[in-house]
Amino acid sequence: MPREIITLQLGQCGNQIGNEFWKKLCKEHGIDTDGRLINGALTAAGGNYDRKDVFFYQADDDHYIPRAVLMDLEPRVINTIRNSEYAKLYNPENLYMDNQGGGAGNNWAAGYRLGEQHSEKVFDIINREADGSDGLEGFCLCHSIAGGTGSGMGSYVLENIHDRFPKKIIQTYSIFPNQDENSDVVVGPYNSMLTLRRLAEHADCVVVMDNTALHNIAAERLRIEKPTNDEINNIVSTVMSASTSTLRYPSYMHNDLISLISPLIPTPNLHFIMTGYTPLTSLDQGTGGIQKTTVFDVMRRLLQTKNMMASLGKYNEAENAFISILNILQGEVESGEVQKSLQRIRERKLARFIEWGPASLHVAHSRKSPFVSTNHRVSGLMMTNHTGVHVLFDSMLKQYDKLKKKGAFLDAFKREPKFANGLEDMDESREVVNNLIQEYKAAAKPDYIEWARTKFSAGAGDGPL
Amino acid sequence: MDTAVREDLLGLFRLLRQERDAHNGDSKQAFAECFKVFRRQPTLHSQAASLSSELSTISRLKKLIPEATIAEAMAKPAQSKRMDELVRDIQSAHTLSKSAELFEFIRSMVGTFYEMGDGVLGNVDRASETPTPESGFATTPSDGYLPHFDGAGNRSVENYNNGNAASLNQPLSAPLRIPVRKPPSSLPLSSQKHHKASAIPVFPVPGHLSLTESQIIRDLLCVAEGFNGSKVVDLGSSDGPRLARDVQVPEEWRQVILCIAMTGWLHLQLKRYVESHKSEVYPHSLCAVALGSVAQEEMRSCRQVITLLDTKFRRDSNETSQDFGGRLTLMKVYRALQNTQHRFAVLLEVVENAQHLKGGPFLSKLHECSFNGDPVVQQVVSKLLSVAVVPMLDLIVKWVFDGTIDGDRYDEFFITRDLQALETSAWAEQYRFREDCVPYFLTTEVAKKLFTGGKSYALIHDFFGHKEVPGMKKFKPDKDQTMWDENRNRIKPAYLDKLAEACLLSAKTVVDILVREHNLGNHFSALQKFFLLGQGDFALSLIDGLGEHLDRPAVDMYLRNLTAALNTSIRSTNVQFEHPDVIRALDTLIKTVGDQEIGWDAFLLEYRVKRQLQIVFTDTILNRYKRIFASLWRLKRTEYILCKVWKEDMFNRGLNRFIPGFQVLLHDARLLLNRMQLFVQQVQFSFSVEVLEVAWNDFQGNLAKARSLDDILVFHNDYLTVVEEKCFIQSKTHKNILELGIHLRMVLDQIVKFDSCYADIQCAADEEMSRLMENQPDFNNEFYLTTVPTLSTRISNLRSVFKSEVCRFNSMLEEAENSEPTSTQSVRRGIDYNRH
Repeated sequence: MPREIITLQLGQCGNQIGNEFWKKLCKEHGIDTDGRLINGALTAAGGNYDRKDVFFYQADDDHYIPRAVLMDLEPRVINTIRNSEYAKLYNPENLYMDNQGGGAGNNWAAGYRLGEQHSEKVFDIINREADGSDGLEGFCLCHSIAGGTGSGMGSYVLENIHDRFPKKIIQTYSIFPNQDENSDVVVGPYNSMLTLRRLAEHADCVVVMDNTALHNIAAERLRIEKPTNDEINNIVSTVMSASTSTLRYPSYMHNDLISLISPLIPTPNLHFIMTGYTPLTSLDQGTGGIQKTTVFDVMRRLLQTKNMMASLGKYNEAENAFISILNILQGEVESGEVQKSLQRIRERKLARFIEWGPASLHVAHSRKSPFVSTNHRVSGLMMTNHTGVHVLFDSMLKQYDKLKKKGAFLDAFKREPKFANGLEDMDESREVVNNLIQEYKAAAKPDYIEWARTKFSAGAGDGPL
Repeated sequence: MDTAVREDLLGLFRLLRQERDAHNGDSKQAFAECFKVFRRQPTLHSQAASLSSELSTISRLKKLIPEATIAEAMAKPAQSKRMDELVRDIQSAHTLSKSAELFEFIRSMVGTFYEMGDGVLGNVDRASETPTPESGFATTPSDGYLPHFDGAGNRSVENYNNGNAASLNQPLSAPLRIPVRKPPSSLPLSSQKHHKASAIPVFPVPGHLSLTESQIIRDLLCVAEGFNGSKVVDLGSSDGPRLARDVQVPEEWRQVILCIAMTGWLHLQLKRYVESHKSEVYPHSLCAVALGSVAQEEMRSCRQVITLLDTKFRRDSNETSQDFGGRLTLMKVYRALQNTQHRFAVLLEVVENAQHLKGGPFLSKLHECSFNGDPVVQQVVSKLLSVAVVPMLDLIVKWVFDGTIDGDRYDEFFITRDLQALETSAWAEQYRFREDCVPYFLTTEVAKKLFTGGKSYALIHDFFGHKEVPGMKKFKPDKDQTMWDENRNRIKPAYLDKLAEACLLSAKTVVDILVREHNLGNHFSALQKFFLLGQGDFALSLIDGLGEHLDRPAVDMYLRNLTAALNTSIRSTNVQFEHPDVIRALDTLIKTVGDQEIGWDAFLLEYRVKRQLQIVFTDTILNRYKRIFASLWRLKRTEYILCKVWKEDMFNRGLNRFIPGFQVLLHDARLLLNRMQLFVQQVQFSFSVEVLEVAWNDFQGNLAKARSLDDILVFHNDYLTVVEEKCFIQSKTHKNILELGIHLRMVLDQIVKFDSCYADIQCAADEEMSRLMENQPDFNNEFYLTTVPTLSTRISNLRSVFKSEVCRFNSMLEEAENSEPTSTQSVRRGIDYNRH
């Protein structure tokens, strides 16, 4: 039974990165823009070794169709995809948009309402997709948390998907807003806070893609002065495809999502994963430059915070630690190279680990697609659970507090049914996020083992989170 | 003495004088004396002067010529050449014995010079006049007397006696020396018999048989033929010939008689050997046949010589002429037979040394004997070798090109066949290599190549049923041409190369057949994917499908359920794209286990290959695979359990949150879960990345290089051995591997215990949850007073046990690493990352 994963793409951002993701997957599996296998894909060396059925299924005419549901509350982005060369790739029935809709207007509450409104149709599509898989393992949600559709509708989907699909893993690739720029979404902090609550409570694994960091990386690593959305989406999709590579190219380990993420996540609340990828190449493959890519170099770079796709601002290194690390290496990895690199990293103390339990830098070696050529010998993705992620939540909490104190822009929310009776959800969300921050902070300390004992010592109701 | 002789002698003197004048006046007197001697000689002769006077003259002469002078004279190549010319002149004159004796005398001095070890003269000498033994035989009687003086031969006899053939019969060695090594003592003998030939009887002793020389000769000619009916000598002893008791011969003859008799004695021994091997219906070895035929040939040529001698003898007795020089004397008989005797001696030596041997050791022994300075020994042994080697070469050719050893009726080949061997072990056991039977002309390495080659041919022909190996014919040696190099006693290198190439070809053909026709590569990779869990999605799918069956007691399992689950897994994963043979081969198996065991302990994958592949995938090999599978499968199962628990916990986190005070227990359980997960992950990681992948890549690399089935088997074995050692399954060399494996299992058992513990936690939580739906939390109910504390204790017990077990496992690893640095390093490093 293949452990299928259905990708749910929500909103402008979610659909854009989703589309890039599918482009990458098609390339890696030798599938052309129409969903057909390119000539000789099956006979190519290693061409038959991949598992396309995790992310694709085959139509009657052998077309490979992504297990993807594209949702938006406005037609613009999906229409762009429809008019692109990948138009024939998707199952047209899986493109759900509100043709007349003007979107959620960057309002979480509107997105949530519309999500509820369209829920029957949306879940019909998801149900159909789920029925089409033998051993559905879970869902992969792509969205941004600051906008309206991805955050609001995404939150609605997150809240309800568990009831409809019990025991399915929900992983999200969540784009966090760029805090360096003055966003045009003035209610971003509200949106983010409300979405973060759902991510904390309903998602099993959140891959944090921080736009701030992504822009910095694009500028510094790829030397692009003003990175376009395409460049950013390219980075995100690179991370997505690398993080799913062990699912698509089976070997000894990490052949299902759960075995990939569960060792990273020691306790249910600490399920926010940061990523790093090196070496990155820009869309035109040129500006990334050639780097020395030995296994050790790749692993060393991955441990540097500047390569992490979450901006931790002025984070205090001494106060934070890695809870767990998984490096997925692709390319020519010679035997023994990994062990040697691990030893050097340990000797040089390049990584600071939590002290309350065993922790390790774990490495998986994944096959590389025979259809994609790169000019790097080795490339690596790091997925890590790092206590420093609370810095990100902290700054979002502060922005939220700043806005909330002023009571700014709350009217648009109060108009929506979700907040008709008050703004409790916002306060609860803040509480949940604050608890999350506290737990991540606690996890950085050696006495995290006793954390539950002290926190819940009274035995009083634990309440949300 | 006739004038011609005198002329010769004068001529000789002249030469000597010239020699002296040209060189150095000091030896003037010596040469003058020499001249005197020779001039006086006819007189001496005619006066029938006593033997002693002549002897004294000659010894005087010898004294007069200072050895140093001669040596000096000889030191210059030109002069020594002159001396050789002189010698040749005399030889070519076909003159009578006196000149011959002079010649011998000179030669004896030359011989002295030889002894001084100068090669220059030796070379000239050998090149110009070394007679072959055969020509020596042929010319001796007709030419009157041409002694077989050969400086080199002279020395080699000594070598022969003192050197490696020291075991030659003691009686033989003394007579062999006499004639050539000690001219002064033999000279009197020979000169003596000239005078005594006419004197009848000599030294009569009452009561004893006294014989004339011609009587003795007649008798000895019979003796030499190997007939033991002589009055003179007794051949009956096993130590050698003895003079008959009642025969009285002059002391001077005794030696020469015994020498001639020795030929007879040796002849007799050889005859007996040949007879004894002829008498059996089947000879005990083809080598014995070869030895017999060579012996017979030698005896035949001996008889020829005797016939010639006999003819001469008869003519002598018919003629009344007083031509002493022409008469057959004992000495002449001895000389004529000397070579034959030598050859007989060599043959007999070989017989005695090698008669208990056959096949390769026999040939090797012969070859050992041929390492001898004596050309006679070399010749005889080479001849023997060239005959004896024929059946061996035949066997080799048959083996290499027909893959059969049927021709080896007498168990002489270095390869034997075990008829009891099972068909499936056609390769491993049917044929055996006997290193001690490899003939000397093949190195062990080459012999093993031939062994592999023939075995491959046999396999292709008998096992795979192919009629022939394509391209093999061109290597087959021509029947008309001999493969044997008689001069060097070896197979001609060109032929040996061809044989080796033929062997390489058939060995490679086996590999090709296995790979191309029977998809060997696919099977290797299938076993890697399925038994070594290299294809993770298949293993996962199998666990998904089998999980519910395997949780039951083993006795309640049904094979058909397992098979059905297996088939589902095959269909739903990439296994469906495997070669049909591979899919056919895959099956499930329930191992017989005790009543207590559950399905997980009893389940195994089974792999059934067709007959042709069973030579690679023997039961032993497949059992090793199964054992590796069982071990990796256990690890996979724990990973599966931990993932399952993690998922369970994740899904229930929302609800469990509402049970007051439950978080503490859950937190403890979660951290233990995480600890276990990291352990399993690290063990799996080091197994897969550091062991399985590496070993598999190495194996594949090696496979591409495999040139024979043996290569494949060796590589395969190496591969499995590495996996077994580094995955702590078993090891022949590292004794703590098994212990580590057992301990790892104990650690993993804790994880299975944790599974049931967590199930109890969740069960309690569910019950409490349903109570909370209707009631307020009651901290005094059973849940809080009993259940939670009990579960808490269980978790903390499990944690401490798990921690200490891992700790012990780590220290065991460290210990193992210290004693055997490479084997376990990776696992330990991985596990012990931040010293927790």
